[in-house]
Amino acid sequence: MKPVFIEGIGIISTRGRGLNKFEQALKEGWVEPTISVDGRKAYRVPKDALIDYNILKKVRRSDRFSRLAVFAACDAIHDSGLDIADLDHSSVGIIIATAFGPHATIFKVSEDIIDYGEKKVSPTTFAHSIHNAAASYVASALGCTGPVMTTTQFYFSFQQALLLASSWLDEGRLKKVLVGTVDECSPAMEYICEEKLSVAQNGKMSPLSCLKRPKFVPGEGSAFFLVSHDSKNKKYGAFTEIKITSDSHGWTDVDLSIIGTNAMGGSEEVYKDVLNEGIPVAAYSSIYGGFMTGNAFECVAAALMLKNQKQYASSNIDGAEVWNVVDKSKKRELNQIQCISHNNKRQLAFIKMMK
Amino acid sequence: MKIYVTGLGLISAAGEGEKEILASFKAGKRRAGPVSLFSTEIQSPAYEVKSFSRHHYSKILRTLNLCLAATEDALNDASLMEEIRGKRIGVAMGTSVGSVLNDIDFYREFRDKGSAPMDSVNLYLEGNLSSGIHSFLETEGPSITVVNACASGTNAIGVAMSWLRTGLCDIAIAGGADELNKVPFCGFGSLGILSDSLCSPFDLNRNGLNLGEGAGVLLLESERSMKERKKKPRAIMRGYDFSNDAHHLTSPDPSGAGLERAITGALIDANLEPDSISFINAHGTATIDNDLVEARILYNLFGSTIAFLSTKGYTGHTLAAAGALEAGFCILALEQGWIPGCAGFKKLDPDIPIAPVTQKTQIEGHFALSTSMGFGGCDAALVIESPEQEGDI
Repeated sequence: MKPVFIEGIGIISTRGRGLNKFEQALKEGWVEPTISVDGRKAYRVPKDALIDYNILKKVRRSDRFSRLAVFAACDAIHDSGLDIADLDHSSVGIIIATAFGPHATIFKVSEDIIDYGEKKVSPTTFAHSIHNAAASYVASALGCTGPVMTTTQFYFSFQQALLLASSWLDEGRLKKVLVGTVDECSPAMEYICEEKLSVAQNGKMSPLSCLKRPKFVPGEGSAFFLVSHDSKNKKYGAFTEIKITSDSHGWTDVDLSIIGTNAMGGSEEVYKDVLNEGIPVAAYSSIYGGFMTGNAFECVAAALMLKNQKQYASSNIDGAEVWNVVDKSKKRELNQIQCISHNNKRQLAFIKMMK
Repeated sequence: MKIYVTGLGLISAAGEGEKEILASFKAGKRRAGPVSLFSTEIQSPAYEVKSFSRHHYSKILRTLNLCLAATEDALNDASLMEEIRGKRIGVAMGTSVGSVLNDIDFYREFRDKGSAPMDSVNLYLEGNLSSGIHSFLETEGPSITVVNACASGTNAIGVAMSWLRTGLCDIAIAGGADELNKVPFCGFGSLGILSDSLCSPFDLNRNGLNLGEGAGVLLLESERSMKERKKKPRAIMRGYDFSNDAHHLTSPDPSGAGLERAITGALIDANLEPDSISFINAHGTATIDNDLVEARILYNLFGSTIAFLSTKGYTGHTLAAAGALEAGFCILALEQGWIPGCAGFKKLDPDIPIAPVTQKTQIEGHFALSTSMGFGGCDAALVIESPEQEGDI
């Protein structure tokens, strides 16, 4: 894989909007999550993180799901030092990966049908319930007229989106790609998670415990990377390899492994086979919660560590069942980091990033 | 780099498989009727796959069943079903309904009682198309489910082309599938774009679309893979491009600039001029806006004599399956040497500068264009070549 250089990053999570907030969260570690409307604990994005009238004026009618994506996408462009007005709008592609899409809005369409009848569905609500509404808003907000794509998978959706971004750049189809993820919580989804997963009643995930039935707390957010093959604009290192495999062999030439234990892919015992004893291991999902596209957040953490040459302590090491756990934040030479995640078929996805 | 099509699987209201579809096209048969898959107050004909019986699993989404059946047909057509193991196979599938948990009964019960059975949730969680195909075939390789609304099928084929061109896989299963479902049926009704009669693409009196369902799957291969397997291609995917209007969630940009960019880009990708194109399978949904914008762009790029049609009058609008089915129809037309009449078209709209073909029409030449447009401002185009002139294959 030809290196895919990171020019800019945008992220919005339960700890607020922007890389600074995310970095601060990495430094602080776990804090108790906010409480959802129906009393279930969830790592939800605070309302004030989605207030920015410069952006909102471009997406006034959008739903929350789209706003999460638009804020993170615009921030990635801004972080790269580019002005939105100065973008080469036809040569920037957009890929948004999501696991559950705008399901809260989709449920509102069902609600319209239930409450008002089949002929009284709000056209605005229906339009926003389409999976690619968020991508459309991102394209409109940025004025991008190049390829725009939304993809959905429950597992490895960020990894697959990144592979596609790499293909587009390799083909010469585009100069830059804005590739990212978005997913949101909703009362219905939180209920589903409670039914399907083992919820951590204390709101504290233990991502290094590698349990057969790990404890889960729902999370949400959006993260975007502006990437290209142009090393001159590199700001955070690069994605250098991606592999999705049924065998449990990662790379051994890395300085750190970050595991994407989000408690949504069934047993996390698979990591015990993967993690090489000599490589320090970190996990951060107890900062932002469990959601399937959270793998992008691990890559944001990796990118920050490669840039800052600093490792951040794992957010919660309770019950750590892996070896050589990163439990202290400190300056450290970091040249390569791998981000590992798993699915419910015991497959693993590895993303290697370099300084 | 040329990408070869070695297998096709096509399922729609026009027929399950090529033979039935060609018979429908030849006879001008339109198999639409009242919705039978669910109860509804909305009066709009729908194109259901009534004869569909190949349910691979009793407990999976209808969309995934349709997709698996079309995939099986494509693999058999490519003589690949028995030799799939060990190959680097990617899966790119487009869908709308298959990506959505839109079970009204589940939501009603959850909202009213605070709890609901997980049956529909489980169906949804097992219903992701590309993951489902990978699981069913036990293959490994790149995998993406594209949700670019009505352009998804075309975009999924484009994703597969990118993978093959950049060496991520040697073979790709690409296309799209969608079932007729109550929630989008009501949603399209809310937008005022469902017709209460049979749809009339590009016609003066067109008043909206009819929804349909189906699946279209293309088996794409690199030249090396195809030659190693000693297969003959059915078609060559010569060019692809797509663009975004950056204009509106549900309405196309009136200027058609996005569609024009997509078509022009696909022609450049194919290294062809517009006059090389023999015919166009247009998106042609029969909505006022879509057909107006699309026909104007086709006229601007290809002139007044280009042969074109919409096949929505035979299949209905099958959402994410549409682009893949229509790419398949282009391949059938290149093989057969004719295109069907544009079912539903009767009278030219004075605002539309060109008319589609009204009857079965012989075509000459080797290149077809298929266009797709979707909510979110998606515009996509594929250039498809008949392999006849490639004597060395």
